[in-house]
Amino acid sequence: MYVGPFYFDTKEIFLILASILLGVAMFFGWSLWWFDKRALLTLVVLMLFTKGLLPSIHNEAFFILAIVTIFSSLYLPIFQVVLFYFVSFLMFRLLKVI
Amino acid sequence: MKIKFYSLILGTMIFSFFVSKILVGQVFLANSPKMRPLSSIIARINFHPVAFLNNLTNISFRQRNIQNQQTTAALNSALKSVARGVQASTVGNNSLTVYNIDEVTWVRINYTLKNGKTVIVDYPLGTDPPPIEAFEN
Repeated sequence: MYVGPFYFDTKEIFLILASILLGVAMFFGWSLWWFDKRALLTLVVLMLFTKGLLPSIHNEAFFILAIVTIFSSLYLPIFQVVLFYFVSFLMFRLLKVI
Repeated sequence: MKIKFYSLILGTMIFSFFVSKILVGQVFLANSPKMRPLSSIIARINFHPVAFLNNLTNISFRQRNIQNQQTTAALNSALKSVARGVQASTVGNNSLTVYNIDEVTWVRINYTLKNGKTVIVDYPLGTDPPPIEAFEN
């Protein structure tokens, strides 16, 4: 989908929708079962940055990493989750997985 | 080919998990981006095999850790709402207060200390304000 000169593929649109939904949930004070809204919004924004900066990355590996990152936010402190995401992403790039 | 691909993903994530765990424990301070001083990081590195094995088999540490986990679990399960966004519990000599920053309604109070300085303090609505003595030092 083109917005002006910019192209958004399906996954990016879903990420943007997720971040808007999380923002609205935070604004209206809706509660989410088990998940922390701020942590989720931080992770979604990080994923948007990484996906946006490298649009041609292998989607399947990115999807697996995203799912694991989101669910690990239930069990680990957010800073460790962010570190895990960045280290994994770096390793994926170095090993040419994505 | 697919097995190799998924094995690589799994292995990378397991490696990243342990790297992040080590970084959070040894390099960064209190789950924040603030790094420990370099001398502190170096001092924590111990390559001596006996010390490494001691660390792995330190039973009293593990027992204390298990006890801490049980106390934490008991405190978490006994949480009751004290005010909007504030939950508290007490088990034995331990107490836990949880503030959900997004839900708390904050009340602002100004304290004038003995030295003439004014301190602005925010505390949750429905709880008692902190005593002025806590800010005197």
